[in-house]
Amino acid sequence: MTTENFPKATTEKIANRQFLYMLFMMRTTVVIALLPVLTSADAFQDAWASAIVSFFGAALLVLIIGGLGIKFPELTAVEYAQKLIGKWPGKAVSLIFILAFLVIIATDTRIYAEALVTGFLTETPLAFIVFMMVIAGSAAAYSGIEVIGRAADLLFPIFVAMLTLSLAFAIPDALAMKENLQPVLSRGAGPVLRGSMVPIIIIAQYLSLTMLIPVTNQPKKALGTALWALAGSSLVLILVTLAVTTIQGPDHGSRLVFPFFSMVRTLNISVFLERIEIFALFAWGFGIFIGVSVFMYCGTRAMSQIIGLQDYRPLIGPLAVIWGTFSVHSYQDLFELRTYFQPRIVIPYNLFWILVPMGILWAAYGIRSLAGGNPNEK
Amino acid sequence: MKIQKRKNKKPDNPLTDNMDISQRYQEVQKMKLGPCLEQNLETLQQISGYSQDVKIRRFNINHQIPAALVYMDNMTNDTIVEEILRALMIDTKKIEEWEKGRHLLRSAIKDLLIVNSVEETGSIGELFFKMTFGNTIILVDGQPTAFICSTVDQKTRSIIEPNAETTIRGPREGFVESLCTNITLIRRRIRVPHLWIETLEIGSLSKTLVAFAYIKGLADEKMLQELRDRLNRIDTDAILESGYIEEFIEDQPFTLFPLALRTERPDKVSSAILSGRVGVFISGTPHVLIIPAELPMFLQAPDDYYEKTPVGSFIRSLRWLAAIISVFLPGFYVSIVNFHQELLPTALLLRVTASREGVPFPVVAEILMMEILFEVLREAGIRLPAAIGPAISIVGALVLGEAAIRAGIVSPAVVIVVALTAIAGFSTPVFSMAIAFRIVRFGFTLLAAVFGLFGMQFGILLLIIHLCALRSVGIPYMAPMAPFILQDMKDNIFRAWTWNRSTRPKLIGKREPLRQKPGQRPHPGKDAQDKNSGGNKNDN
Amino acid sequence: MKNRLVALVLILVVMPLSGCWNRRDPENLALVLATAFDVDEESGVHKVIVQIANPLAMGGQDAGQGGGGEKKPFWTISANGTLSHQAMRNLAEGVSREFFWAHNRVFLLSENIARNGIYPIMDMAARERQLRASANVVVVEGDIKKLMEAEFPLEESGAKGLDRQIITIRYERSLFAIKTLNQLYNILAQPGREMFIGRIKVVEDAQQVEESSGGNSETPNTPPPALIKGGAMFKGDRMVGWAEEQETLGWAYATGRVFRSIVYIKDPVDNNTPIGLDIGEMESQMHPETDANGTRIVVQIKAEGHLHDIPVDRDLSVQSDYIKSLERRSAQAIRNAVHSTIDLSRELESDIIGFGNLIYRKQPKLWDEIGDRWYEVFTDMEIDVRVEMNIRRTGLLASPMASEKRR
Repeated sequence: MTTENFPKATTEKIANRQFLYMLFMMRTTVVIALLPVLTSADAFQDAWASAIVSFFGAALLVLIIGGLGIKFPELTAVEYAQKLIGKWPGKAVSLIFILAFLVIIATDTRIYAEALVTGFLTETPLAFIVFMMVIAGSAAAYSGIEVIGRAADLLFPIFVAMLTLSLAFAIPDALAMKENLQPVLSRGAGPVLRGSMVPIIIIAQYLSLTMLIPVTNQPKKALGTALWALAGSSLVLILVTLAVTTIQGPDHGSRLVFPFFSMVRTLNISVFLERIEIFALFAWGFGIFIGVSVFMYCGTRAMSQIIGLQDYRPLIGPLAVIWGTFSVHSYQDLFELRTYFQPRIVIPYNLFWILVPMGILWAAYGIRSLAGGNPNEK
Repeated sequence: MKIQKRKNKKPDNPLTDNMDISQRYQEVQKMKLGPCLEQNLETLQQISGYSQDVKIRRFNINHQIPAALVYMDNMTNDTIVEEILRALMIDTKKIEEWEKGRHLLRSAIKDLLIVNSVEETGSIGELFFKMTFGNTIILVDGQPTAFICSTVDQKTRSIIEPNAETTIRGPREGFVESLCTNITLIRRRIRVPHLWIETLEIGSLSKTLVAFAYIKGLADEKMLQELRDRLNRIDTDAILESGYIEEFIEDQPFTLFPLALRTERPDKVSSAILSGRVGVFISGTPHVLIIPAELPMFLQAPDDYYEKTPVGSFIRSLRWLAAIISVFLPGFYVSIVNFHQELLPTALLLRVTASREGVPFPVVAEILMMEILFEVLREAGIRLPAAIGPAISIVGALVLGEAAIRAGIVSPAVVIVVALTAIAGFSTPVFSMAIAFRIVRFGFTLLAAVFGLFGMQFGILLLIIHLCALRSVGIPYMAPMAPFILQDMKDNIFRAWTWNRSTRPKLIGKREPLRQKPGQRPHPGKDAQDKNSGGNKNDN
Repeated sequence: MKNRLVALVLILVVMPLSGCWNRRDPENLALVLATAFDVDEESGVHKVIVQIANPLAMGGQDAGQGGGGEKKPFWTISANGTLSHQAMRNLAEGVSREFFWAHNRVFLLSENIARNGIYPIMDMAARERQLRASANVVVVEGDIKKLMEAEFPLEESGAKGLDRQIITIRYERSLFAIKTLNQLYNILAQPGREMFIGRIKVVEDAQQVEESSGGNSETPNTPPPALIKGGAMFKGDRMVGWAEEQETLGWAYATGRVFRSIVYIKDPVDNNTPIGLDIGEMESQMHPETDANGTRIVVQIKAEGHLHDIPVDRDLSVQSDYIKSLERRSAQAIRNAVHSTIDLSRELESDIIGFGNLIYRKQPKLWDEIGDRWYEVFTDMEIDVRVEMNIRRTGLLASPMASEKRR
């Protein structure tokens, strides 16, 4: 895999369909792993309503994030940031994106490793599992975004198949216990809205839109694609929430660390097919892989554009090491990880990543348009 | 007219023993024919070291002019050579005309030669080259050029079905070692003038003829140019097999997976050419390369197309399943039995445990041992003569396996797993892919031994990255599955009806996407559409 | 490039050698099939008994040594500790293999520990990653150790025997209560509803078998080691009492978990002969109704059955009054069963049918008011049980054997 065999980073393109798959898998994996709608607020049996609300909130944020990208279809965020507010302020603002990518990628990997260690490989040191995912993700990012797109093409059906199977097998149990959903909406709108905060905010993952829009075949449609991915992901969230709430009960479900996997664990299809949660975890690992590969690509590409390198590949090595270290050492234990997803912590973080750079850039855009010049020029 | 005889002088041999190949080559390239017949003959014999198979037949044209016929033993068609000799020795009319003016000798001789083609050259190197094909050289005293007459007689194997790629229903022709015959087999299937065949000569010592065939106007020009460049860049001494060429021109050398499809069947090659691909023929081997190649092609057999669609689709999906089994089954077994015992139903787990009581090796070691044993058996079975080969393989497998179980060295479940894997591996139609799968299987087993199913997941991810990054002359290796091309999926795992396959593969045949007229679904004729007719009136 | 290759090779070599921390060869495992928890009342010491499978005797046929007849297919071992979980870990002191809990089918709780409160066990079971949430839970009345060591005549191991017995009794007579751990978690969490766990009675000797109303011994020599009868009623996580057959039936009728059940009524004509009806399908719904007098709960049961035992000659022609009176009587029998359950629930303060939960779901505002003092309200609340019974078929025989012979 020598560098000269690879297409130049600036000429790689992925189809919008692959883009859709990548975004879908990215969000769905995190959202169903910890099921924040259930665990982070007191909406309990109305969690599915929170899931619906979260779609609208997240869609709004997606529009904020991706809106500028469509106006500059061929440029990445780093580039048009520099264009809008000047070279050095633009680079400074882009550093916020890189911070966001880094935290997200470390957290996602850590969730995956925790799920494995808690559920399956109990004696394996966490570092090794993180190590494996770092290697896989870095290899994928090194091969280029086109390869990641093709891998998404291949892995998406497996992912969806696993989700569908889990949900399909859950249907009989869920229908038998649907009274767990009652009393419906008895707590009023407050808890529902509070419950939807965390999934809305997790949309910060879609900051990768800023780097990926120019890479798609049809950049102008990329925002629509992102919204479709969000819709799909929210649908999955609603269904999974319904399943977990009915089968595990709202109270017990909110106590579980990984509600989705515990629910799949209880499914008992027939005598010889039990404990199928391992396949759910397997497929879920694929989703995490796509997610972290994309973030790695975005992060290294952004970094290379800030520094001024032609190709992002030399940066993968150092960033992989940083990623691995962050993943292992940022969170001491599971409690810190769960605390991170509490609204009072994750919301300020993510809002900072989303609103500060986007706010500055939109403001600059607005000022330029008002000043009469076409911001696309110069 | 009297001809003055020159003094016979043995020329010095410019090639000494101390010279190495490149020096000899340069010297030979510089040599030219002189006007004296005996000198030329002597030179020819000197540079080939007086080899026994360079035959010289001296004769006189029209009983007057000394000439010689030089050819390689056993490569020429004797009848034609006799015709040449008869024409030159006996037919006198043209020679009389020549006697009037000496400068017409060359054309007179040319008119006399009743052969397919006649060329003239003065370079000794080229003379020799042409002789190795079976052509006959005519040297005439006093002429600075020699005539090369085409008298080629291809003594080659008969055209029979290749025994590595048999089909149940399909043509039973296979390629042979002779380039001309191979090209004939293709030409008979594609009869338009757009089938262009470009020939190159590769290899400084073997001077192998390499031809590639494509349909002009369908195959992508950029791809053709790339292929041409790559072939022209090859600088080696010999090309003995298509594998050599394959290794020189592939996109990505560090991969287990073959990037060009190798086949011995002309129907496979012609259908590939018709889709827009290129077939590379190499003289001396019946294996033809198809470039560019994609992964699904390696799991397709011609039978799928010749049988009806449901049957073909079923068999093909079975083959995919077998491919997956052959790669993943041992790893799966190791990971479940060693790491994830909760996946097995209780009764099965108890049986597996019971059968493993007293077995001294851990599961991983058992699997690896049996796998290696199987590979050795298989390899041994290939090398043995055809009469006892299969028997030894079967006997070895059964007896050894049974004895090992009895002795308690391995458990029965492992033997079953290994046998199943091996059998599934045999269903891959293309040998190079089957080998790749076998090697990958070992990797997965090791990974499964370390991390269980998550080791396998890691392995799958790495494999997918690798496969998705591969390209074969610019075409992604995993098309049409990885850049998901919907219209090509009709021929991927399931095969659509023949009347439905109207388009060519999108990436390969994009210049001419429509292969046939769409909408040709067959239906019963007009008579049968009248349901109330109750049969033909004339039936009784 | 060369250094990279060397590094790669080293990593590849090291990985399998480093021991693969989680690898377990299956012959090094002790497969736990059933787990029993007990507590000693005076000393407070928790005891755990497990049933471990012996693979050679259970699974292997020609596995070299030819197990089979002599060896028992499982063996039991017990250990003590201050908490159940500690007792589980202490088991390892006497076993030569690593414990593997993932195939545990049955949890047996002794009466003592049930009365003490089972939150600790539930909590541990939910956290432990190897345990299955689909395992059955039962409360045992009698000597739990004897039950664990007992041999079940038709099955290989006690766990499997109990498992199947539970399934069978559910299908045959619907006499069994909540099955799995998962259902228990659910119910523990629901407000206004209490757990109702099935009961297994350990058979002390042959006489006891003869006395019980079922009388289902196969041969006088080998009585079944356990009988499934009734259930244990809980309040919170503590057991408060037993429910016998009638109450269990009532519970099953009210919650609609009937697969097949038999009702015996007295013949309307002579008020003496018992007539048997087989109940095939039953649908039950509950809803609260509020009117001027307050709130009451209406339980609506619709049942379908067919005639099973008719020892005397009666007129079974179409739409006769006899059939109608049979239907009325059987409806009454069902109602009686349900009422007996409700009475017992009121007495023991254990709302197993879940009326409180119903109020919580359908009228959450009302529950907010009365939820804390639910049992006071429950004692006085009117519960209206309406049963509708339809006799559809009579089996394969149209008129009773005892009818007058036709000439």
